[in-house]
Amino acid sequence: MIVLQGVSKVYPGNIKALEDVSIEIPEREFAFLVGPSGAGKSTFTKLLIRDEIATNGRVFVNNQEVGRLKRGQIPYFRRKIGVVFQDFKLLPYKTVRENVAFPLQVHGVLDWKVIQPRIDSLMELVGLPDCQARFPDQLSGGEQQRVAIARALIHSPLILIADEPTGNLDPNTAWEIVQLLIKINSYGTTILMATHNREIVDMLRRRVIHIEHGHIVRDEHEGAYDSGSEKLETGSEAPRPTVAAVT
Amino acid sequence: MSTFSVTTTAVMLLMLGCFLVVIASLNVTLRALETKIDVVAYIKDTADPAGVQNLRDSLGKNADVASVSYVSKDDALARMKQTLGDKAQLLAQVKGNPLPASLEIRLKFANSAPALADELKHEAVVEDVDYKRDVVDRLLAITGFLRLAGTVIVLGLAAIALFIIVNTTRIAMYARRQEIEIMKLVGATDWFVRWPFIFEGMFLGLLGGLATVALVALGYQPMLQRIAGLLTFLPLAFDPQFLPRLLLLLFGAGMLFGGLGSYISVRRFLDA
Repeated sequence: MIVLQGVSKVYPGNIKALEDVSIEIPEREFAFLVGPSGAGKSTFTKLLIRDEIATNGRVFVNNQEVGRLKRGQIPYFRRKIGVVFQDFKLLPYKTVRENVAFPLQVHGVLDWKVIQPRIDSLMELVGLPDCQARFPDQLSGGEQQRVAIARALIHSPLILIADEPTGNLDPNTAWEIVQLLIKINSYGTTILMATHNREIVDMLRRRVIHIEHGHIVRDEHEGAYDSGSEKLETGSEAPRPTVAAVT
Repeated sequence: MSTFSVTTTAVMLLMLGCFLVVIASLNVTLRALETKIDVVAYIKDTADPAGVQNLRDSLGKNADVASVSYVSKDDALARMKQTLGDKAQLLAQVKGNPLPASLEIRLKFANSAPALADELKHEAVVEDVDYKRDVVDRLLAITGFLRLAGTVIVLGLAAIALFIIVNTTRIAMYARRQEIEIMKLVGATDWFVRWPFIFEGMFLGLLGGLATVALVALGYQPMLQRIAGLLTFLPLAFDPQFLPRLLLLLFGAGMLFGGLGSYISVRRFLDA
């Protein structure tokens, strides 16, 4: 589903965000992308949605080489991906219903008879069945993130990329959001979640891709946030269990 | 912010409008001056009247010629008497009528005078041809310069107007960059993002145009008189047909500048 082959990204001023990164994330996987601030996590996710282009190497998403997309192809490529952000990025002057419907409208689906049932079922899924007429600023942070997730899913994307989706939320709400993502993953959507949330990563024991200084320093299936383990080959299983506090 | 955009557009269009008024009025005057240029072909006293009539007919069919009138020897003498006024008795000293008959040819455009004069010189019935070569040359030089200067200034003003509109809409668009960013992230095509901004720009331009049109319609004549008073060296004239055309032009320019300004502004955010 997601393949990176020897990918480097150098920003102007010779700032190296990623260096020779190779990794493969198969379909239906739930993977965490962890690492300190400035490690290259955001660059990683931006490369996947063609918000940035790799300086070297090749990025494949859903068998399409992202770097080779022509400008006119990018919108159609992005329609197969859902993105969730730390700051939700909801449009404040649109109601919840309008925010969630927005991607479909952008894709040219304008018939509310088609849109409304999808919104209803998604709002049910994210646990906010009665908030459709409200505006984002009338909702809590957790509720706003649920709305953002509903918006990211309305066009049934193959992949959901969540960039620090729990960064602005209290631990309980963060946990609820992650439970929601797990549920979505169980329906078949591949999920890549960049996070700093140690507790969640440690509790879920999913695949953990650890980036530091632009390199993948650890790639463990059923991994934890921290590990005393040495640098591993990408895509390999963890050689020994990681020691991590599970709260 | 929209109010600001509309006001900017209106002010720019107003400047443009004022200048166009001056240029157009000047043009009317220049054209009037140009059509006042006559070529006079003096007819030989011995000329065959049929030959003169033939020449007159062929001149009437000439595309450059606005009108041809025949001035007989007697008419010429009468005119001379009128011109001399009190001193008309001087003509009593002259035996007979020394003045030749002539064809007075009024041209559509002054620049065809030299060629026509050349042609006429070779006509059998024509004694001599006269046109005010100096006046024609000077007038052509002046009108050419004024028209060129006018075009350059109008284009310059239009460029400045567009520049200001682009920057105004860019500020307005900056406030909506998140919307553009989200549109792009959920897979909107460039044109899907662009159209609403272009329509909005056109609408704001239209409003600006409307404000300008109202001001120009009210102020056209007083303003022209004022300008004519200030710039006495410029011959200005009022053309009643110009106003509706100017109003249409300002509407069009408002919409064009608004739409084009938005198109240019939104490009930066699409490429970001």
